[in-house]
This record gives sequence, structure tokens and C-alpha cells, in this order.
Amino acid sequence: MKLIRIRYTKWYNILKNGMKTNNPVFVAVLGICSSLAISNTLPNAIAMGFGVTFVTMFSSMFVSMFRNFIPAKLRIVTYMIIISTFTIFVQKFLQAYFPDIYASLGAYVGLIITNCIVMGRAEAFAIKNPWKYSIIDGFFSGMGYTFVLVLISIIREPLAFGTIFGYRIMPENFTVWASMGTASGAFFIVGLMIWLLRNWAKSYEEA
Amino acid sequence: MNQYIKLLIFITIVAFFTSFAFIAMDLLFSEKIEQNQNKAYYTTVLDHNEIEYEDATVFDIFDASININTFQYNGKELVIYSDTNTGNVSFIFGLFDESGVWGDIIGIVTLDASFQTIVNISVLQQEEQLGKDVSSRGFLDQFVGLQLDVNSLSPVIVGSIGDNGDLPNEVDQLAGATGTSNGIQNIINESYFIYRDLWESRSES
Repeated sequence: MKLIRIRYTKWYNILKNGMKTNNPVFVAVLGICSSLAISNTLPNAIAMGFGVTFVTMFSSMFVSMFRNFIPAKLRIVTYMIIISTFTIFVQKFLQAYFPDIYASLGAYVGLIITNCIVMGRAEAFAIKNPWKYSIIDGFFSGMGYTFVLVLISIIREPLAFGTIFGYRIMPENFTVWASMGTASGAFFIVGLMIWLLRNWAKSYEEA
Repeated sequence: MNQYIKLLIFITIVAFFTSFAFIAMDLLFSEKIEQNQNKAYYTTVLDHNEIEYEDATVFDIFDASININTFQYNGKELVIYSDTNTGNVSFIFGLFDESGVWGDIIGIVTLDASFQTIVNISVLQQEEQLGKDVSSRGFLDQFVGLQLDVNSLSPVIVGSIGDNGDLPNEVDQLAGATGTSNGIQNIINESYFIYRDLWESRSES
């Protein structure tokens, strides 16, 4: 009985929206640039996913908290300032405590600022909702992105490098698919993922 | 008019808080970031000199086996690391005017005590696109043992010149990345002259 009730709670719907119904990558097709670029290995995908989740959560929370004070004309600029502040925090944190991951993610950590998911959630949700729901929405949108990134990298890393988390799992004589380490291979996997996950989520576009 | 004053006040408040946040982040992380950067330099110098270390002992072993010689150059503090056993010298290249096609190429080169033969070279930071293999061992290993032409304007040549392409100071360029090849050549040569002059000035004084 309790389980049935959960389905009607706002936070459950936010969770379902972020992870499945309105998943930022395979339904809204947002954040594709970084999805293609850094999903070549699992550690990169996880670090980027958590980075985007952190930035989405806290920028949504701040936008929501100050939504009554943000002038409509300066709305987008304010989002950008808030998002860039949290992005720089993530950038410095990785640089300080995970320098190897920071080096392999390269410019893409800084480019979280331009990730459409972060701006999209601020404009579509946080500006109209209380901060406690905005932080949940930011978290599950970020986790929806992380989920897809991890799925892509689980396929790409073994094929491109023969490893998972840097440990060799493919046979010694396995010939790596060099294209899987590049954006062109990622396009192929992302396309397949969008098709499979949209079928799973029953998310079809009307003709 | 009132509306514009409100906008101005809002912008000022946002600017104040974000500036405060940036200063706080700098205080929180700058020491650790600098430590990581030094660790990257130190491990590279130790690797070049084939000195064994473990992750926890990098700084101790570095202090025990490498001398740090600091110099002032155009307002910058430059460092030459010298191995106390072999006399090999290492310096960071890519800190001056020359750069790659897409950005800086920064690394460490280690020379023998005579400042004429490359013992090892590593690229630690680069943003090249077509020439991204500039940091690959396959490319960099060509430099190991290279005899520099110290009397020439180009002590290192990346890419063949002349008929045979087998000069003692010459390595093959990166395929399909002439710009990056020229970039790394110019970066190493520029840095070489600067550090050599600094090192000689130390001997004279």
C-alpha cells in the first residue's frame, strides 16, 4: 500500500522524470557533446557524471532559493554566473584531489558550464519550484545523465582498450576497436543507446 | 530609472558573492593543486634519472637526490633540477613565447651534465588536436640519446631536413601534424637556450 502511495509523491515523479521519462540524454538529447567525448572510460564517465550532478543540484538549489529576487531580464546571466561558480568549484576539486581524472577529462570539466542539462533544469524547473524539490530534480537529472554515460562507457572501454576501470578483461589476443575510443565510435553507441532506452522507457515521438 | 538601479544593485551583490566564492575556493584548493603540480614535476625528474620511489616517498627521495637551482628570468622564477649523483640536469620547457598549435605544450627534458645530450623527455600538458601524439612515448622516445647541435640556431630538429634525414640532432615529425611538430621543436630550442644561459651564468658566478 505504501509503495503505491510513493508513486504519487512529488519526489518520486521527479526521480522518474530525471532517470527515465525525461532523461536528459536519451529523451531530451542534451549534454551529447560531453557524452561523446568523455565516455571512453568508466572512471571518466563517473567523474564527469558526478561533476554534472553536483553542479546541477546546487545551481538548481541556488536559482530556486533566489528566484524571487532574480530580475527577469538578468535571468539567464544569473544562471550562468551561478553555474560557472559551481563548475569552477568542481574543476578545482578534481584538480586538487583527482589530478589524473582532471587531466584525462581535459577541457570538458570547464565545459560543464555550457552543458544544456544544467541550464535546462534551472530554466524549466528550479525557477518555478521550491529549493528542496529543485535540489532533488538536479540530483536525478544529473544521475540520469550519469546512468547513460556509465552504460555507454561500459561498452566503449572494453572495446576501445580491452579494459574496465583500467583492468584488462578482454583476452590478450583481442584486437581493440580504435574507433570506439573516438567520438565517431561514441556516436554509434549513443545512437544505439537512444534507440534501446527509448524503447525501454516507451518514449516515442509522434510522427 | 528605478528599475535600472535595482538591476545595478543586483549585479553588484552577485559580483560580490561570486568574488568571495572564488577567493574561498582559491584558499581551499591552491595549496593542494600546487603540491600535485610539484609532484608531477618531481616524479618525472625521478623517472628521467631512473631513481626509484614510491607514491608516499616522492618528496623525501626527491629532496635526497635532486638539487633545486632557482634563477630569475624576466621576472619569472625558473628552476633547473640537477641529479646529485650523475649531474644530469632537468628543466621545464614550454613556459615562454613558443607554443603548440592549440595551446601550450609543457613538459620536462633531462640532459646529461654537459648540457648536450637528451637523457629523457616527457610532455605533461598539451592541448593539441591533430598532434595529440606529441605526448606519446613513441614520439618522445626518439629524443632519448639525441646529440644537440649546440652551435646551431636549432639544436633539435623535428622533421627531416636535407637529403637523408639522419642528422644526429634530428627526429621524425608527427605524421599529419606539421604545426605541432614545428611547435615542439621551437619550444624545446627556445627553452634550451634560456636554461643553458642560466646554467652557465651559475657556473660563472
